Amino acid sequence: MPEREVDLTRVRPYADHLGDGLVQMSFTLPVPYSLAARRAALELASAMGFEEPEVVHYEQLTPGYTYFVMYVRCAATVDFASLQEEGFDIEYLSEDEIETFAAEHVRRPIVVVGASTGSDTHSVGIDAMLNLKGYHGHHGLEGYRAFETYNLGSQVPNAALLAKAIEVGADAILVSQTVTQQNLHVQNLTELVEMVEAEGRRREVILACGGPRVTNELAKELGYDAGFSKGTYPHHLASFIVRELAARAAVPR
Amino acid sequence: MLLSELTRAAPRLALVGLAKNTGKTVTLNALLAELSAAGTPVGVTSVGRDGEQHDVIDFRIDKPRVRLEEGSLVATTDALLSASGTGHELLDRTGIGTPLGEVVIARLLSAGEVEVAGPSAAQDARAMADAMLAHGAEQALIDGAIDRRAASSPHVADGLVACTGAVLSEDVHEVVARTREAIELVRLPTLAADGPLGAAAHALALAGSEHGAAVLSADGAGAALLPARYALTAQAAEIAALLAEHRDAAAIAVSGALPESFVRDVALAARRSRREITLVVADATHVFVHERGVEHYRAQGVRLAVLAPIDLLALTVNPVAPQSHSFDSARLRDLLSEEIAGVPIFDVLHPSYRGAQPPVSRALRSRP
Amino acid sequence: MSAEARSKLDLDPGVVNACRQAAHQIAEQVTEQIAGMTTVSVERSVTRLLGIDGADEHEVPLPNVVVDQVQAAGGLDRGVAFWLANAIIQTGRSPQQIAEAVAADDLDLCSLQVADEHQIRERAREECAARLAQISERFAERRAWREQLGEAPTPLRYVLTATGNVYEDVVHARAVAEAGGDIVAVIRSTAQSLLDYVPYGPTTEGYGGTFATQANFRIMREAMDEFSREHERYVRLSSFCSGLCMSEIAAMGAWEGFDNMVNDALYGILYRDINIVRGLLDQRVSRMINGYFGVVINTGEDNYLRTADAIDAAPSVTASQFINHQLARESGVPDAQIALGDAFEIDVPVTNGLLYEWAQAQLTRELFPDCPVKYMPPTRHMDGNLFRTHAADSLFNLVTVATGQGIQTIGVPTEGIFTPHIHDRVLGLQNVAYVFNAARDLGDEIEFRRGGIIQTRAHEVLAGARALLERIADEGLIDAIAQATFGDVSRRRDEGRGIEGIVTVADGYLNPLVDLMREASYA
Repeated sequence: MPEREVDLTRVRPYADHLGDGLVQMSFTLPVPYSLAARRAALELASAMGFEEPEVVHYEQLTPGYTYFVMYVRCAATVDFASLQEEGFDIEYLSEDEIETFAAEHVRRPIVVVGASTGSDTHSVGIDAMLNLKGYHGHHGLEGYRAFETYNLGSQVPNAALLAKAIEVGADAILVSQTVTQQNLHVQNLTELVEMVEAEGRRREVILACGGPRVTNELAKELGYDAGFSKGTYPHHLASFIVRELAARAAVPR
Repeated sequence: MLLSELTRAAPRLALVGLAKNTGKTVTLNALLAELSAAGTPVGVTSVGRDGEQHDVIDFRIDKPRVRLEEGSLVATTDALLSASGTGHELLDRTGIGTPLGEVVIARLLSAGEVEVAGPSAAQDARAMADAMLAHGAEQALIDGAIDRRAASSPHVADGLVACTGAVLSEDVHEVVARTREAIELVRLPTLAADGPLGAAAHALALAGSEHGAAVLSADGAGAALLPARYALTAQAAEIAALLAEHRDAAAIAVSGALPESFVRDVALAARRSRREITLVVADATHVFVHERGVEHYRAQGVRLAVLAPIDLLALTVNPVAPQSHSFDSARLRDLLSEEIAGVPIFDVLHPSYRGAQPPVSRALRSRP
Repeated sequence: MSAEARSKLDLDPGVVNACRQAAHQIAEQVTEQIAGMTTVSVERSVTRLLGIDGADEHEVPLPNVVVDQVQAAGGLDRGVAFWLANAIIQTGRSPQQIAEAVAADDLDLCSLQVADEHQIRERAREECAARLAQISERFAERRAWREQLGEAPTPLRYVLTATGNVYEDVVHARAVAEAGGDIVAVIRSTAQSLLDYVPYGPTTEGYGGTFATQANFRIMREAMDEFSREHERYVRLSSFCSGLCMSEIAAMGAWEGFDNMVNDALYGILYRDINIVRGLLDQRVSRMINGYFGVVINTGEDNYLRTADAIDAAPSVTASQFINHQLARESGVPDAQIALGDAFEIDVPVTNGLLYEWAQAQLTRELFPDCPVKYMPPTRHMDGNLFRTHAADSLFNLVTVATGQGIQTIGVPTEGIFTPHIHDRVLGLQNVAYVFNAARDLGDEIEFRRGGIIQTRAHEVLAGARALLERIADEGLIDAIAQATFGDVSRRRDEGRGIEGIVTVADGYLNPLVDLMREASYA
């Protein structure tokens, strides 16, 4: 079969062959299990803009609630080429490159204080980034010579995180937010950045946040220097911090 | 009176929303349109992002774009400026990096829609405003982000337009109550520098943040300095012991952030010892109370006061919560004005508002 | 829960015995180290068991109002029961009326005239005994009903709900009960473990869970009872006796007829930085309450594996099971009510990971044949790839049924993404139903190769646990925790949250509830 060029200005989902646009989705509707419920799911999919909706499975969860698994065809396309041009991707350094870069450009231990803040009990994210053990075979920042790390764990009040950061003269504060119900993560993250402002430290410290629903765009809107989502490894974070510190050292403010 | 006339006296004007989707960008566009009609050269920056296509948290929500006239100044990132396709003259490179690129200051050579994402640090936002004023803008507009308040600090902006809306709650009375609490926080009483307490607190502020906090007696004498980071770290027992030790303490001045845990613990100690304590901060952006309003703490014996007031010039209202519910605009404004005195309240999209209509699609705010 | 006919793992009874002895020694040391102390939350649970409920105008719960007043007056070392009984004698009012008067600033408990000490003791004991009898009666009715409907076959399926809104929790709970859930647990709002009070009234806003309040308990209980009546299948309810209000929540759960309770201080000590002495004091009384009323407690060993490596930390899990078992027994909890914790947390790429899990699960069963055990699903290494999680859960379900665990917290495909949605929990239950049914008697058919991977692994873990237990017996549990023995987390005796709530008791300290419950457990 001849190789076909993918049109990166008009990309749609790929399932079986190029351009088929097939999407799998599942959801629950708060309606009684019935043929009418099935009809409702099909109509809803059409209202979402999908074509050729198909319910492959549906069942009652409890009276008044019906669960659906569907396949639908997505006619919409996305312009991948233009997204690439906006250059949101960061180029990452390897662990060794980070050590070398830090030794050349920063020339002192980089102090990083991290926590999962507010009422968030999940320490998995912050542990993966900071602890020696790291994540999927990549050391956390504790394992680098270039970094001096303080992992305060979970359920840390913003005030306590900030106090520790000031105490140890942190170069970077790293916040992890896993619980996103009712956008709690946004409130927590906002409060921290505003507290850093109130303490007059915003320019001195790199603020980074991470979590399953944190994006770089959200980070910017919240006033952070960077946001890291799922799929982030410690060396991604480390690359950002050493580069940012070097850049700040180059442009004194 | 038009919003732009009401805010003209503030060369650096901050726009702050009480939450996302309270109509900050719509208000910004209304101001820009009015200033353009009056021929006033203007500069714009944002501590978040403005004019982006979709809401960053809820992708379903389409956002209004920011429309700037030819000759306007803007502080945004180089990447966003080139993405806008609008012709511009680069005035300054700032060296300030953001997740969306380096912030630059530019003058637009033609009118266009630009996504505005300036520096997020309040101090840097102030610097952008000053630079744009120096480059010939008569007014610099500093747009907030989400519900961040730092840009409204009197050390950053000369005046504030606050934005509220239906998005705060499905219950209109709850919207009013929460707005009242937020406005109360903005307008905390100011300690006069010539009063004894005010003088002592100002003196502490001048001493800098090294000391962090101090206990003051009512006559301003006998100030005792507290350990560094006191308000961030002190526990309930420590605070109770502090008040027990300083029997004549009338106030605690805090140079940095005042977290709710501290306010709560002071309130507990004050209530138990049946005393009244004033907590003094530099300005209202240093106060972090979310769970309870100012009034709740006042009832428990804790008053909050500031050294520098925020000049609240107007309150704008978005009666529509995107993807959800909406209220009658006039009723919402009436209810608000009953509860909040001394500030003009506008809905810049309402037919009764006689300002220049901003060039955004009404579909974004379709009413039932 | 029937014991396995004979060991599949060929464990050395001498080693097992050494473990038990060391654990017994550790538990006795703990009892000595926390003797002569009480806590504000233990005292508040006394007020709750005496019927005090509600909140003042500042939304401070009345149990806190009463205990705070006595503590501020320096009287807590006599026990709040002493002052309440005295006030009953002096004013003729009920405990609730007394609490309301304290809240209204009309009554100062410690400045009332003090009656004859003997009379106070008698009165306190009478009030407490009457109240315990009243709660026991409710429990007896519930137990009879549960037995009449018949208990589900083990492993019981333990399912969580966590919407933050108690009324949504009811919808989720009904759905999971319908899909075969045997025990429903409402996860608490993430911040609650650090609150030194129990919020009052029904709540509709919580994060990562719903506040444990007496009103929320009642709403869930009524909904599940209704389900049980309609379907003639008893659905158990569970919550969390943990955090700074362990013993108060035990008192609330007892009154509302909860069947199970997560009840482990070590979780709060390690992961919420609750002071270790405070935690152990609160744990002792909360377990006493749960033991007395027939509530099954769940311990939290599974959590260590969320922060420490599951292979390296396995001996610490086993060691902790031995210790928790002894501590629970010291609080009067019988084996049938001690569901020790364990989890299926080995990272996915580990070759033969399933065999190691099998060894650990079987080991737990053989070491504690009369304890139900609560077996937890993989969470730590689960991520956004929900299909992989679903596959891992199938293996977890297989090990659960084949090793005959008493209670299984079901795995949910969207673990690690967000608080699972209603259908995610149902999908998890369907996976459980499929595997439990398909492999129902697998365990009876299996023997392990002598000296094979599974036996060897079990022996190694047990030997590791023994070494650890003997070390802890030498240095004491509190020092061992300071040295990061559990979950790679270190906590010191003189640090941590809630330390200010510990009170050294005076001669004549009065807590008739503890006395009565202790007498019953040794009767």
